[in-house]
Amino acid sequence: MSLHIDMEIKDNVLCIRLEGELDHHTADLLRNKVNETLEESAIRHIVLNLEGLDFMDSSGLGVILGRYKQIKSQNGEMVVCAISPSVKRLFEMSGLFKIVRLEENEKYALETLGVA
Amino acid sequence: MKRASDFIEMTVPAKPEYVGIVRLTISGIANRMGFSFDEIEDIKIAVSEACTNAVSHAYSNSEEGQVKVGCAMFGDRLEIMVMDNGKSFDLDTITNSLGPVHGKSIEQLNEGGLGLFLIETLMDKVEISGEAGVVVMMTKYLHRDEVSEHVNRTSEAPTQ
Repeated sequence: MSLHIDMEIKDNVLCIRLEGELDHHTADLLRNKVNETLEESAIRHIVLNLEGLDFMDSSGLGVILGRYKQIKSQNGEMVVCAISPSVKRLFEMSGLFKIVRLEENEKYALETLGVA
Repeated sequence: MKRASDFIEMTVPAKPEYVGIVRLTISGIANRMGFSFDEIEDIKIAVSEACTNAVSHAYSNSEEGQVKVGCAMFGDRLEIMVMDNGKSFDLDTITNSLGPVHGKSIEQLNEGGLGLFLIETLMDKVEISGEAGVVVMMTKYLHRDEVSEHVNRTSEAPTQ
């Protein structure tokens, strides 16, 4: 019932890997952690790997949307990958999939952003 | 229709870290009642949204509040009530925050503005009332798909 956040910077891409549950409580933690990293490092794009994410609600969508806006205002791109069927459904209901690019896996997502 | 039922009630502090506990408990109840994996996911999200709203409502009134959750288990459905004990609130503000169907695009939505919309989408019946605090009452029917086949609803079911 918690969220484990793993972050790695590859070139100018911030890879965020999430494990556990992303709700209102853990969304605050994620928001702070990502914002800190975005301030400290020269990040252009974000890859969000949701392979280990068991649960997400609208607070989770909110954080993702917020980071999307942030990265987009700097002409960056946000790619979400390895998304489970239930999270995908949430993306579809909210319309988020229309603006955020979804990819099969992290490796391919990184390739599309020019990181080998 | 069968009369109720077993009833489970729990009260948790109005703090975000307890929403997960409620979610876990209700997912256990739904599982025991025979809901499918997908239905349980729907219920978990709806419960999470309702509890999160209740928690933030309690926060915005700066009260050290509690959130009460009641589960009534019927033969054909699960009814979940989420109540906060906030004193005052504006129901219009809450119902107006239903999005994104009402013209707003996703990019214009505030973080957190989606909760009620998801509850309405994921549950079969939702009622919100606000006489003493906010009460969200939501119902999920067991095996609704099987039932609706017999009822001859005008859904997208293929005609033979």
